[in-house]
Amino acid sequence: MTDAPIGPGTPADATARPGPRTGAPAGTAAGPGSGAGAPAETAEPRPGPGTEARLIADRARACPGVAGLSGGPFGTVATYLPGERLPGVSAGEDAVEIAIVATLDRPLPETADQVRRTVADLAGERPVHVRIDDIIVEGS
Amino acid sequence: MTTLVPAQRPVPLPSPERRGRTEIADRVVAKIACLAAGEVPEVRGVEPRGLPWAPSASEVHGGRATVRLNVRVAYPAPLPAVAARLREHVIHRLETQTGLDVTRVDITVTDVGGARS
Repeated sequence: MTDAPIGPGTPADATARPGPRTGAPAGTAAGPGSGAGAPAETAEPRPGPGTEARLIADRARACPGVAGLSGGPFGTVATYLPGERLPGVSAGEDAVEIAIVATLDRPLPETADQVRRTVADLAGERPVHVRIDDIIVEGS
Repeated sequence: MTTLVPAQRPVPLPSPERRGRTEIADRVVAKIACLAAGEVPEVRGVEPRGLPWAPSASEVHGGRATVRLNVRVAYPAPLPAVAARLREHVIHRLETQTGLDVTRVDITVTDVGGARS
């Protein structure tokens, strides 16, 4: 009886192992925009710190008033994934840190609160620290 | 004889948008201050003024910010009045845009005259 769950388990691991290897070059080469289908398939079924950080990054980037993610001071805000580095999001056990580049459309605290609200369900009870690392000024 | 003490209620969590800090980088404050200074009509040019040990023109500590600016002002304009208006405008812009408390704005008038930029 115990062999039966282990049996499907090990082939699943064996098949899953090439996943990140094929996924990581796709993510670095094609980026999140064009290769959205392929990395999502490899990332979704394996819950872990990497998928969580990616989801947080995608949601933060989609917020109004956010121009992009930033590495934070000295590039310290980042998640290290196998074969890849995801700057701008660091989801630890007791806090989530997000470093963004904002636009000046709206007051910066509103943008930060919006980011916090957007990732609230992923962060759970952890506090979400938002760092506005730079701004983009239109017309200059 | 035992008396039942009601269990202490857990402190309710604050709403999600209040759970965590918002930090604003020095250069963000410096950029906004320069833009705001350029909006004052008598100002002909602005540049952020760093110090040798603090190259950014502004510093943010906690919820407070200080700013240093070099400005070129039109001639003939009353410099103290322009500086006062400039200070007021920069503080107002920074406070609405960043929510920080601006404790000082140091202005140096480095030149007068010049074309409107």
